[in-house]
Amino acid sequence: MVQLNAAEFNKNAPVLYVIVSIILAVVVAQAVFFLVRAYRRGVKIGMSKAVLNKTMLRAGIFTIAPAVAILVGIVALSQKLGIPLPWLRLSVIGSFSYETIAAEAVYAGNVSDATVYATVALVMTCGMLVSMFLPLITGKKIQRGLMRIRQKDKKWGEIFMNALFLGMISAFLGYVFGNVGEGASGWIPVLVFLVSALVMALCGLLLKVTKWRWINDYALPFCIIVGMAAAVPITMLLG
Amino acid sequence: MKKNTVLRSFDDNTHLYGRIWGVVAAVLILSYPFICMAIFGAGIDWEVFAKGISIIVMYCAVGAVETFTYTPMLGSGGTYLGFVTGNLSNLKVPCALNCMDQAGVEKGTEEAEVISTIAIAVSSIVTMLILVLGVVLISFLTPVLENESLAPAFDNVLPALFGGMAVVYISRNWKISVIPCVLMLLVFIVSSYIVGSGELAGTLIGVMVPVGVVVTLVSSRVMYKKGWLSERGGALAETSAAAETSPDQAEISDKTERAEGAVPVADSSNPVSGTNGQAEDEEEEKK
Repeated sequence: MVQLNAAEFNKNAPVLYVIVSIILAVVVAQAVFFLVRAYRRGVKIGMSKAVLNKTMLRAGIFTIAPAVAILVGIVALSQKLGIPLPWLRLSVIGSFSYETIAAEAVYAGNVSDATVYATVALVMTCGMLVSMFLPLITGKKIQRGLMRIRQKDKKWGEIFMNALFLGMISAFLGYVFGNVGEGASGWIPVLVFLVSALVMALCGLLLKVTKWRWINDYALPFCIIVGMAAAVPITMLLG
Repeated sequence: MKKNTVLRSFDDNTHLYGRIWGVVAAVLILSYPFICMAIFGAGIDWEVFAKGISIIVMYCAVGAVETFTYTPMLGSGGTYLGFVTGNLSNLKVPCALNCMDQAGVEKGTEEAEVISTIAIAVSSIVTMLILVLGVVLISFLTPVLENESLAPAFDNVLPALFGGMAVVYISRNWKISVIPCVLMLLVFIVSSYIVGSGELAGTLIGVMVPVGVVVTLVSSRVMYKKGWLSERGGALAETSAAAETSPDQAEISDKTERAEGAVPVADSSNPVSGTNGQAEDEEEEKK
């Protein structure tokens, strides 16, 4: 029956936009639900509304530059897969690197056949199966384990949390140097990293001298934007 | 039937709601390929699918590692939301970390859980809005976003993001940063020279984040046991440093007494279940 009424394949078919919109609306509803819940909880345990409001502002500003980079990923993948599929994959769990690798690995060239399109979508989705379900199974146990560590030894609990974040930051520090073997162009990410680091150091200095606390709010987003902007002339010089 | 008199705490409900939303979102996301098959009367091309199996297996392994790595960083609400909305390492985790730091909250506490969840929720919503706007205006934006001269800017989001973050966190925790940073630099630089390109770095990072976390935890534990982390520059300096520089710390500390009084830990076997009056929580959840 479905076969008889099958629509002509179009990777940008309006119906695909509708489906993706519905899925993303549910995801946004989840975000709003947790936002409202966390905000109310914050107020209830005595956190200042000003702090909570500022957190929302900071998170929003912080997100702009990386989100535009994700949009670039959608544009890049849209030639091959149309807009709805990359829009969905990069809006929900997934990443540009995985989606690109998965799409390229299974099918080279632009997708123009419904079966190939659905199969590519399936491969892109299946790679995220563990990321989708494992946190649902292990999330509670991991969080409870952390709480026990903190209760047992508060001092070590603090070090533990900082060590987690620093482990991640150290890995990305190494990653930035992961292209140096290819010659001058491999140093571009390193220089961008250093520009961003320098801007952050200057922001810290400025904060110390002027005591302008608002600098704290915008320092990291500012570093990201300056670092990204610096990548253009640096690439012209070394690329 | 006997009425269940054990009331759920806020934290229990976070896990419950997180799982419900997670399952709903996962089913919807998974349904997309099958809906496409139904609409276009297509099937699965198993030959094409077979080419992707190794990629699927690899990323499932990465997903498992990411779950154990990022869940402790994001808190309960942040985890359930972050793993649905994705882009963890390049957006959600740095965003949550930055917001927790700016708010001057101690990581792992209930305040941190609140801030992390708010940060990830807002970040997810803003990302969605930007992507919707981008998709609507894609024909106008494509020439700009695909402009070759701007491409380096978008290719270098991670270095730009982690450059700023590294200065803040490494300077505050330099003692526990030295070993993992030196190790990671060695691994990535040596591998890059061996391969002669940066091709390996993209694959390595998925493995090296958990390795970096484990190395940092082990080395920190050793230093902690030896009593090297009590001075400034050790991990504990962060709390005081954050208190000095965080614009929100004063506002939070105004409320600290009230908050501390409101969050007693009553049950050691269930560390969060005793928070702030379970009956009140239950009532609030119902509302």
